[in-house]
Amino acid sequence: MGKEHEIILKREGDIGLLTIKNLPQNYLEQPELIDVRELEKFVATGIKALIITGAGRNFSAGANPETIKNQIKDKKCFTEQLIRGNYVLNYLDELKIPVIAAISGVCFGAGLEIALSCDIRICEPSALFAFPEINQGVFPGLGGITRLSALTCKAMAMELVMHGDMFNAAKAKELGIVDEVSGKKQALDQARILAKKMTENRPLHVINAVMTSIDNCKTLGMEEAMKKDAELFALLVEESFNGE
Amino acid sequence: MAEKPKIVWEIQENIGFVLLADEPENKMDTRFFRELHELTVKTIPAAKVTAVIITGKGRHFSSGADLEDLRKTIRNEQEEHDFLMNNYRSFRFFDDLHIPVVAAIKGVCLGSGLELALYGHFRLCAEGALLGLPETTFNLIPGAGGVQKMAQLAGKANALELILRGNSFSAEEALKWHIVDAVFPKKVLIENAVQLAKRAAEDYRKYNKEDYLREFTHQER
Repeated sequence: MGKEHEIILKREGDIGLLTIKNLPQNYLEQPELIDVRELEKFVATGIKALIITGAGRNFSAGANPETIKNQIKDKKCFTEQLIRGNYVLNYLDELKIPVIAAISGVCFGAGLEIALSCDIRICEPSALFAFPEINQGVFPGLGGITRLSALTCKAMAMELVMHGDMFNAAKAKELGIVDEVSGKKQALDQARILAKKMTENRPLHVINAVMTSIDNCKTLGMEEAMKKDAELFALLVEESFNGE
Repeated sequence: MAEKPKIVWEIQENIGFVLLADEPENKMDTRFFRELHELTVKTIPAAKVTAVIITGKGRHFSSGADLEDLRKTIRNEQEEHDFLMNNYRSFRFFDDLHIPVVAAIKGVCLGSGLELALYGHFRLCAEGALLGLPETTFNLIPGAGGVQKMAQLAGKANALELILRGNSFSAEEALKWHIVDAVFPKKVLIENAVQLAKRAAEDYRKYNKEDYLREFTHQER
């Protein structure tokens, strides 16, 4: 067995913090960021927002190319790991609380794919992004292409993935890949402040309702999304009436 | 004596004005939504107008739904659901209109008021306006498509932040987040809305929002 990356889960009040740790670059040693059951348990403690960040100076440089070389020898096993890895990112994507990526340093490949599965991305001015997979003759395998196309457009996703070139924070902001560029070394603090502003004084069920509604517009047409919203709203009114 | 209408429909120079008329705040209560429904199923479809401008009488656009009134009138979940779907369809009517619809935002424009404005094809905003979706501060969510519209216009991250925080924001911030298309001094808001409505109505078949705005804001600034 090769080495593993470490995932640290920590609660700060109502906010959950997930830290990827494999210093210095926080390489991911397997496609599965974390055992999804462990993550589910953590979320079930009632956190109202989740922040994902990297230990030290970097977010994550993505999959460790050395480890992949060994893992790929067992194709079936590797495929299964990829599927589980995908499952974790889909779980993050569909989570009914805001998930914020606080990005500093390098955010490459699978690291960028993790960031893209978050709802909000905040990065430091010196952050660097890339999908370098193409240089090894592979492509982002954890839904990165799909999420990148949705966020920018097909042409841009093709360019970034097929070039494999690095781009900086300003470019990422311009393309809409990050939502905000923080001050120097401020990404995590800014994520904390934002998470707090969004969740303090909000009951979890209201946060869940807003997240459900915002996710519905991605998967449903306007008319269907509105029917769901009306149902959600009616439930919330009922609760707020009963609360009085 | 007839009750004072909650919405006034006026036609000037072929432009239909939807004036929210429950001054000062132009709150939206059940009667407002009934009148809006009438307007969208009968009056406007039958009217010979080339564009529509939605705005408020007096200083404000609208402070949004009158929660007290809604609480009194709506008795159960089914009624709430039907009420919301009806309101959504009334709002959506403007989005689906095949003539340009301009929302002229001024003063407070909150909650359902802002949601209505979001269904306009163009949103012009007066300096000093205060916008926001404060529903979550009452443990509710924007119920007439505000979440979807906001996510489309401002992006998911901004939409999440301003909906979950429920705080109000300025005309300038709204412009920055693409929630409004242009900001004008308050006293020239309506004249600009009229000008834009006429311009867009002239060659509606060539309708391209970005082109109009580029031309229009360039010309005005």
